[in-house]
Amino acid sequence: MAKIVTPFGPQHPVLPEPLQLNITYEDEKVVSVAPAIGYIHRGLEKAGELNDFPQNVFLVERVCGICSFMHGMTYCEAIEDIMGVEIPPRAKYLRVFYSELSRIHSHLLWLGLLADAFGFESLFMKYWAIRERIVDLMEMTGGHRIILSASCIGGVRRDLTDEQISIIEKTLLEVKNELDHVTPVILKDYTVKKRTVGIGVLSKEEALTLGAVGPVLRASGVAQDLRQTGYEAYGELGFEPIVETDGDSYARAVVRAREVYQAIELALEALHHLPEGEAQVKVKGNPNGETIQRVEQPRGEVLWYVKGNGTKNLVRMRVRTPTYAHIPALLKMLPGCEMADVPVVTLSIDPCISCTER
Amino acid sequence: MSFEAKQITPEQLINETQQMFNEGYRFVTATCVDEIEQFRIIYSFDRETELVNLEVAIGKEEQLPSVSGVYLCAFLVENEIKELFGVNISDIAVDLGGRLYMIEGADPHPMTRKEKKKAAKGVKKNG
Repeated sequence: MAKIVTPFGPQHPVLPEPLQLNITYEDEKVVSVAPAIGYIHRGLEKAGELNDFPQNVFLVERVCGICSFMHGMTYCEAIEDIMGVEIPPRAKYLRVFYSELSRIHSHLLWLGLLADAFGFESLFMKYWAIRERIVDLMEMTGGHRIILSASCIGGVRRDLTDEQISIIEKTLLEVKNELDHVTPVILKDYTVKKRTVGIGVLSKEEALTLGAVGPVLRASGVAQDLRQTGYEAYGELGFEPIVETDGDSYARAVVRAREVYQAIELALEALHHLPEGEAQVKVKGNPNGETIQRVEQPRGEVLWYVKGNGTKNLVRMRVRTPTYAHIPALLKMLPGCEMADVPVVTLSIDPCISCTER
Repeated sequence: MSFEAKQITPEQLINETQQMFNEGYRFVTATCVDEIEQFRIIYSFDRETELVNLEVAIGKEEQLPSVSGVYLCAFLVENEIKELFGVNISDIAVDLGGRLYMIEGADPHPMTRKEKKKAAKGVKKNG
């Protein structure tokens, strides 16, 4: 059988962002894959050395639209760590709340995109309609529908009023009820299973040696989630990672579908236990030293390295995002799949190329 | 401050990385820091949320072996470091030849830092 090579992307209906996979097929079966990125490299790490370090909060929120708050939060944690700043307890709980709001928003977006990838348009629209409720909450609290800009060095600059908390709690419970009608479709529907079960399998050993993170790692049977380390207020809220063992596209969908419920519970818990007091402390001086901070984003572990030299400009600012870690794993998942499965498998890592290239 | 790294030499890098692999660590990433006179490369590994760092310091013209023979997934970040900083990393499992991000004709190694020159005193501005 003759082999043919066809490009998947950089423009493709299932890819909101440009990623190219040059795929070698034998008949309709994938034999090998060569990735090509570089379409949206913006040099954000270099820009982070040129800005004043407080300005970087707004820059790093633009590494990724979906994970904007969590990039900003991790960067702030790094600066706070170097400068020895202890943020108020209220800020820690607010950071958990905003993080989980981001996770709900991200997973609902992805579940809709997955449905869209295999042509289940009504399910796609259902998920995105529910997601609108979360985006409305983001606008009400953070002031913007997508870029959730609430973190600052020293805490959180978008505190919540009692009235806002009441609206949030009511909305999250309504979202949970709406999900009860939609989630069984992802978990049980014949069409969904037909397109995802046994497709793009990544074993536990492969997931670890290829550096997979987040839902991809947990769907392959590795019970690892950085929230287990108890950063911010997670240590006080009680947390167990959601794990599946089959390592296929279906398992990755199930992990995310279950994590939406878990994120709603964590967000509500954070609001329920929200301490009184200030949400931020004033920070004076410039960072002098280096640190590594990691948090669990919706797509998985993100790592921030920051180094300062006592001036207002940083010596180095570096981020390793989850999708960056998933490219090698994707190259392992695709060979052996059918051509028609390539969009679903590619989407199953929840690719964010904006994050990857920075 | 939560940053600790074990200092190793370029000659020790492969053996130390192999040991991390044998002990079940996941490769997280490598971070290059341009210290003007030399490069520092920090290799980060994770096992059950515990982060371990190995740090190598090399001169700007020195060669550094690739760890992608141990952890294949390291090829991406090694290509990035080679392309953006100009670190001379040899034998990368998948060498993209400086075309991960940059296009032909672009200024090479845009992430490198240069010593800031202080303005001389008493120099009048034109105009």
